[in-house]
Amino acid sequence: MSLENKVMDARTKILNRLHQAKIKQPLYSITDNKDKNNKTIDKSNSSVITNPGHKVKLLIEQLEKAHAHVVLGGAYDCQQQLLTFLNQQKVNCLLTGDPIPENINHILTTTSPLTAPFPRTIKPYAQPIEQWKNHLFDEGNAAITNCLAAIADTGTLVLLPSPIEPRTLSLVPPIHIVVLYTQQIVQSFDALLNHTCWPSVMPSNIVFISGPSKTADIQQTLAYGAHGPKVLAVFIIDDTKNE
Amino acid sequence: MPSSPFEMKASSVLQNEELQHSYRNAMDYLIKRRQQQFNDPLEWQTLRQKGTSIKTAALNDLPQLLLQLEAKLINNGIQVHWAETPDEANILITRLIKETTSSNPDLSPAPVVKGKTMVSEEIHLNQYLAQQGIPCLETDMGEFIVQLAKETPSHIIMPAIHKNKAEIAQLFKEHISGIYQDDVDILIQQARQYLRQCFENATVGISGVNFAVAETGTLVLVENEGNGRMSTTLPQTHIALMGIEKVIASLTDLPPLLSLLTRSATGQSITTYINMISGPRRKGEKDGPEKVHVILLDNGRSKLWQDASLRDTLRCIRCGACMNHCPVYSRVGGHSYGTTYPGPIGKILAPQLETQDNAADLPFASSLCGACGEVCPVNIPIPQLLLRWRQEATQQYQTNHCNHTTIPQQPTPITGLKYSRGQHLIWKTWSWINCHPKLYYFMTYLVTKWRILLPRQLGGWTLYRTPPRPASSTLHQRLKNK
Ligand code: SF4
Repeated sequence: MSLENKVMDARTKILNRLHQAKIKQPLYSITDNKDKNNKTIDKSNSSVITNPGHKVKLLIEQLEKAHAHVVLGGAYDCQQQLLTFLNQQKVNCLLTGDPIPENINHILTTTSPLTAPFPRTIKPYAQPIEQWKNHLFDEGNAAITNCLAAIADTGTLVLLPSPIEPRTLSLVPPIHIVVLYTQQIVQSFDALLNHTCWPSVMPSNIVFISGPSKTADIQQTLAYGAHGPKVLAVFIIDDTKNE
Repeated sequence: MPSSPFEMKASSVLQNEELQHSYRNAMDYLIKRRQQQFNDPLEWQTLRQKGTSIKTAALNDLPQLLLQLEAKLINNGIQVHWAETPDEANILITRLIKETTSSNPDLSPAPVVKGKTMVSEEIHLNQYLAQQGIPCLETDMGEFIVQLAKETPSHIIMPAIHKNKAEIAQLFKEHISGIYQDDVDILIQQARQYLRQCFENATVGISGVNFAVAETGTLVLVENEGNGRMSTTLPQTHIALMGIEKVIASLTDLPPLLSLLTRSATGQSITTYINMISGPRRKGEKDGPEKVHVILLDNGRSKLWQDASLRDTLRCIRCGACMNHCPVYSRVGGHSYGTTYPGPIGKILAPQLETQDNAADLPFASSLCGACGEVCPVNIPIPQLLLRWRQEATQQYQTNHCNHTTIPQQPTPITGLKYSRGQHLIWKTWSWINCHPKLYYFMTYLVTKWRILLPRQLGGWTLYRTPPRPASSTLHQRLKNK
């Protein structure tokens, strides 16, 4: 009770103090011509690129620099490569969204004559995490998700967790596989903001992922798989040809 | 002889070769990585000005933005609390933890998991919770190591920078694995396994906040490891702890600030994860915390804010670049300061944020080389602020003997702590002599004539240096004789 009062007090006291002073500090004039500068600032290479091919190239370059496994190709190619990847990594339990997103379902169910599939179960994230912890933590050794977009400048995948693909799907399993389409690639974070309706409608969670989880906390030695996925694999399906 | 706690700790670090080596290597690594990111001076200048403007504007509107943030957060289903002091914040957090655990008596009491947050160090949360019988586990690798060693972070970005591989391997042997091995990959995997179990069972997660967007009521968390995502996603309750200066106006402010932060801090164009939280688990969602609380902590910040020049301090985005480039920090290390935030930024925050008298010594522990001000991504004039704090510490308490406009009416916690009557008298006499030409000539005549008689020991000065010897004639005399 008294604590509540005290806490109310804290709010009033802090705000009172802030309302007392009327100091405004001058700003750099740069904010006045924000629009002119907005686009060229973030990275020196931003201004150069308008060609979609460059965006894809830059994205791949950045992702690979961050130790991600990247594959670019047509739908069929990517599918083959994905199967090979799953076999190589010995993924025997693959977690997916629930219901399995149509594109991912298509990729996973179309059997390929070239690659003998490793015996594997596919587990959609069917229940709230409270009932699903053991699948998430113990069984699934990889998860596959879609993403909203990718930012070429920084090599970033933008994930929008949802009831179908929950937040932990891209976080807990040791391997995270992302399916991306070339048309989803934008140049910069600024460009991404221009493409979304975010300020007005905010999802409960947005996650930017730019590589596998890592740390350099022991003697500046880089180690992957600190807490999140040890491996990040990105399959970029080239859909520009369909236009 | 070293006298203050700072000097004592610093001199022992200076004699520790191992530590000197650790810090030097770590600083060189971080400096080089940052350098590679900002190799285009024009781009750096533009981006830096932009970041500075955004933070300055946000601070100009601080009261309005805080109210807007509060309203938006509440609208998003996040509960907002205010705390003026560390004590208030600690009591609040304890209550929130107890509320969660008591509503689930069937759940086994698991430790609270915590993502990296310097504000929690500032309020000494771990110690407080331990006193209340609530174990709180650090989950950032660096913080985890530091917690195992029962120490405090020595750097705001890399908390275990003072520890070498062998020491960490020894700690892990004692606390986790039972076997000594010093392969970094394996060490990290051991910690990962250990901490995963804790994440799986935790009911409360605590995190910091890098930026809070007022326009949308969004908390932005920046990290590489994923422990921040774990701590804010898996437990039922997420408590986010932030200083009131972390608020920014809009989402479009994020790209330049994030770019400045990650590039300055670790030389990455972006961190592995940027987590934007705008609410607890919504209907239909299968994970995420049921409850999200935000604690807005003042702890001296509003006092800094009230002062036109000290307010600059609040622009800080906690990148750590100032300490990486500081010739003092890189030699005396993070623990010598005895404050939560070490290095240059720590020195200018401590007088308002910390309670110990030590705060008054710190502004003097600088060579004023200016490196910190030069690398600061939000252009905080750290060297000028150090001078301001020196002035504050040495002026006579509650007298307004000098009409300098920047001296506020209200004394700060360190005002007058370094005031010395003797020194004050010497300076008074000095300025008096300098204001009277005849007297000045007489004095300089005496000094040049009797220079032999000057003492050989001059306190601290001659401890490391030869005594100064006045010239045999003054500059005035020499020029006259020419
Ligand atoms: S003062 Fe500047 S350089 Fe130092 S931590 Fe803060 S933002 Fe970074």
